[in-house]
Amino acid sequence: MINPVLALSLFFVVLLVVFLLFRPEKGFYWKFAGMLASNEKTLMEDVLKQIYHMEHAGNTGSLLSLKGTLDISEEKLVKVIAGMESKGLIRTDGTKISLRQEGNDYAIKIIRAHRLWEKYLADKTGVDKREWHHLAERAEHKLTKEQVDDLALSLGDPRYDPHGDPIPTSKGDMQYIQHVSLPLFPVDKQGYIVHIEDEPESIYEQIIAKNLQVGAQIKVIEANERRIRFSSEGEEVVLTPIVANNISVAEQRRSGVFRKNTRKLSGLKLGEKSKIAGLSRECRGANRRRLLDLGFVPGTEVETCLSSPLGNPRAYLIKGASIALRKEQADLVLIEMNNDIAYGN
Amino acid sequence: MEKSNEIMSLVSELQWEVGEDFHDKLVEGIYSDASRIAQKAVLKEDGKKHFNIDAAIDKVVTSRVFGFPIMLLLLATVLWVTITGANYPSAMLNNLLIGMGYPFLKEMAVTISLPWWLTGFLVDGIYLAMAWVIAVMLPPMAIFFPLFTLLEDFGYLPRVAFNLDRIFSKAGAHGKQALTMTMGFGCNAAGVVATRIIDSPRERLIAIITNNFALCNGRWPTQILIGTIFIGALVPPYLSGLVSAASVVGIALLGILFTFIISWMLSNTVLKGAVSTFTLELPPYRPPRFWKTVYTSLIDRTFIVLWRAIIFAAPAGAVIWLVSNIYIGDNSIAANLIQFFDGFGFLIGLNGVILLAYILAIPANEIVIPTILMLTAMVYGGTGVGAGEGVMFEFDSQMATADLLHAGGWTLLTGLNLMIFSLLHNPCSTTIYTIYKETKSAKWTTVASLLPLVVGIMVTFIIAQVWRIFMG
Amino acid sequence: MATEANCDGCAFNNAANLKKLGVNVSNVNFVVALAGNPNTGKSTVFNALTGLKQHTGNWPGKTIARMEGGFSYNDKRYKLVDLPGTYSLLSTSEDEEIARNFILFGNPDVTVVVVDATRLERNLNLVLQILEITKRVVVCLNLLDEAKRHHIKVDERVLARELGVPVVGTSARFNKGIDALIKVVHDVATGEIICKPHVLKSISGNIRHAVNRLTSEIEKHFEGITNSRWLAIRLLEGDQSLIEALGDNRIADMVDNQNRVMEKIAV
Ligand SMILES: Nc1nc2c(ncn2[C@@H]2O[C@H](COP(=O)(O)OP(=O)(O)OP(=O)(O)O)[C@@H](O)[C@H]2O)c(=O)[nH]1
Ligand SMILES: [Mg+2]
Repeated sequence: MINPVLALSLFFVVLLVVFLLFRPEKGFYWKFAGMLASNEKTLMEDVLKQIYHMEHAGNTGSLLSLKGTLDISEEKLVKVIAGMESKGLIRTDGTKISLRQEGNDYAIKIIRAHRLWEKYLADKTGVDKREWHHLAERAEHKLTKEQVDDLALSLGDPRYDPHGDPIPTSKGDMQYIQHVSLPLFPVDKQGYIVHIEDEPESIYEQIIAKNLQVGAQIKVIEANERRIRFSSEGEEVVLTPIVANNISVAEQRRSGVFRKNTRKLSGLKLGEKSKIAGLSRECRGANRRRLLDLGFVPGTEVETCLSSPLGNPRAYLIKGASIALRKEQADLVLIEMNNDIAYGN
Repeated sequence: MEKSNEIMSLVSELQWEVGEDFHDKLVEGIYSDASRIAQKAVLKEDGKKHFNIDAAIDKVVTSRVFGFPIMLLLLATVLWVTITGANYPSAMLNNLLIGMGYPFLKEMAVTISLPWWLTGFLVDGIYLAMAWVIAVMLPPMAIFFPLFTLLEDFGYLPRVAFNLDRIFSKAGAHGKQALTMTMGFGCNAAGVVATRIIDSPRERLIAIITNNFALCNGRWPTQILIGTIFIGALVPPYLSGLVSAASVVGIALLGILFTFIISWMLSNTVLKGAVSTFTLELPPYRPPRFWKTVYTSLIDRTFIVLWRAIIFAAPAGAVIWLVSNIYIGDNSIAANLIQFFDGFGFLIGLNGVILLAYILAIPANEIVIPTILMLTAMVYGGTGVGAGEGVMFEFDSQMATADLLHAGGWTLLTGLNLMIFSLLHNPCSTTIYTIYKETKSAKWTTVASLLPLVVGIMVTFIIAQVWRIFMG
Repeated sequence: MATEANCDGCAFNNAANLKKLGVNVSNVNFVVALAGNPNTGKSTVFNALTGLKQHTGNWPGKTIARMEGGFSYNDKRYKLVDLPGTYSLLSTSEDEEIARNFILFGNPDVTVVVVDATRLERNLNLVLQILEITKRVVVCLNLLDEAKRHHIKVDERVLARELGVPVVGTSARFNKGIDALIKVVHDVATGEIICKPHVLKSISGNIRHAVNRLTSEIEKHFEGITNSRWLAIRLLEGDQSLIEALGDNRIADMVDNQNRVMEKIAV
């Protein structure tokens, strides 16, 4: 017979070891696996991408600028660049580094994979948007061309990623929208957010915290060197110019009505009625489609009819049916501000 | 090919033109047509406000105060009605099939002078296994399924999902998992198929893997019997029915608790990801058609499930008879295996008999109890009926069963751990096969099969050690 | 429309002509699909017609797989296909895929859309989409008893006129209106009733323009196609299955089928 105290202690020791090895993120096993993952191919593709972005922004690539953005030793970088040149991907001219056609195509392929993956994460998985970029950085190196094309198909061949950047088609075409950064956008003019830069992270965090999203309507109320004050989806937001600089805005392309007096459906109290003003841009993919199918279309009357014992989810009466939504989803449905609408036909 | 290329390039070009909100505009367009037509065609009879009974019921069953108690009460009532209601018909069937049918067949065998081993194989093995399954399973199922279908037809199930969603979402799972879980109370294989209503792959996998924690019908006979013998016996007789029912409800709730815990663990490790969408239409209440529901659920569900159990029980009965009657050395195969499992069985507060029974019962959980009784009788010398050793039988009274188990060295700990192990172990073979069909992945099927077993072993192990430390 | 579809228990009380064939679906003349929003009574209608016992239950999503059964009426044999409920054919969700694919590629001779009379508007969303796909549609206005209980009345004539397809009121659970439904399904299948389905009116602006351009392009390539507009819409949405179907000639097959059905009716 085994002593129960001894048996129990042994058991917990084994449990602890397993936990330390495999606990999410910080487990030793994962750390070890992560170390093996970053290899030469990854590095090369990162370099290609960087040069592409630099050229796109009108600059030329150089060893120095690459080293600054990529955070690796010069030794390694030189080696990678030499390898790339011999593969015919890039051309070096003094300190200048530029992409050859082949390298350009390669870079676009990587960008396509990256943006599609972000779109996939946004539409299909519900992964937090703070993690999209990070995860896509990893996925872009692993996906094969076929996988990327399949992914595009299954997402309905999307044209823009969730940050508003165009996704290159399989042939490499893409269309940028004409835009300016928010501080430069004229006051009192109606526009919409076309792009939110997700790097550097600290600034991206601040933008997210304000609940701003690509596609959201915007009207600048006040702009000076200390602050930018504007309204977006019915809420007033104040940002410092540095942060606002990472938001790009274009003029309203469609003649939509500017929604100023909207609020979130989740704020509609039990028994209150209102009308749907629209779905927030943040509501994407399958979720958006399902809500539309269920009748959450602009102009529809809605009433909060039930709350579950724990307060969330709630059920909303819409077009004769009561539909239960979680709070996070009801946050994405916008309703009209005044709820005293006259009812009648 | 030519055609499709031309069309596709035009599509490509037009897609840039229509922009991202094509879908929105389209649906809005369709709905505006729909509402125009509906306005013309629908006539509300009068302007009067009618009392809305649906809304009134909903207010109560989802209320902060009554929501959860009502759910619990309904679960307890359904179980209690099933347990007490099944007693009498079970005894009757038992009397009929085993008390009368069994001796009759034996006599027949003698009359046509079958060799003893063939009689043993056919009558003591196959027939008795099937008879036992019918006697034990038919009555509770014939009560449970109609009750459950009545609730389903009334429209209560989606409200359960609505009430529980908060907890599921905290566990990183989908609210509709509550629906598949309730389906699992009937049959786990059916519960696994029902997960198709969850359209996020990650959350669907969680629902599939954890469905086994919903105590299915096949495992109730075990729970009811052991609960009655070991837990119901702790209190005075007039309370024992209620307490046994409460112990079974307790195990079912423990299963729900494990559903949450394991869902949470999965969604924080291997099936990481945030919660996707949850939209659930709460249908209007519809008064069920009582007799029709009872009739169809009897015919469709009960007999189908019963048929499956019989099919699995027959060969299992044969195998049990064989392992008890084929000898290696001085002992039968069964005795050898029991000895082999005894050590590990002790470690987790069970014994070799129980473990062997669970291995033999992988095809169908329903036959666990008869197997255990038969094996115990064989090893510890009960007074069995029939020819050869290892005859499956039902003891006339629960007292006799209790005596036999106590003779086999069972304690309250054994009983308790058996109830828990019966909740937490690998799914039956049908469910495993269904999981494979639904996931099309050997990996996830393995995870879904072994995870509950590992959890079960850990839980019973801890209970056994703690018990031994504190209770001597 | 050739025949008046809505009629309570009048002329055609043809119960005698209906034979439930259960699972026997051999030698059928027509294939009939049962589509509709979740929880509107499709499986109940299915059971009433075939005598089978497809599970029903009062929650959306009860049926998760396709189920087939047979019945015969007036010496024609029918195969009836019960489908999982769908809110829309425009989504890409997996739980709605089975129904979506069957309605589009299964080429049913008649599609019966079972709608909930108490929530007409939201059900019409699906009906209007199906009308874009096929002409041979019968709307089964189910749950009339519930509607009555909730003091809601639906004018079937107006609805039929607006939609351009026959509308039959039923209470499937109580077997009411099922005879009339079969009769109308029969008439549509055999071409005695020719439908002129409603065309979507409220699509606007650049979307209408794009859809129209693509529609005429598709019609140019596939002659005799009847649901070109729907294909155009789906292609613009980037529907993966359709793009594949375009590649592997399934669309061409579909057009052939449509033409065949037309001939069948003409004969
Ligand atoms: N009162 C009434 N109830 C009905 C009628 N038709 C169906 N029901 C009930 O409505 C519920 C749903 O019926 P189903 O036939 O399962 O619905 P379904 O359209 O197949 O549902 P899904 O398979 O989930 O899409 C069941 O409880 C039926 O008994 C009717 O005409 N009147
Ligand atoms: Mg159904």
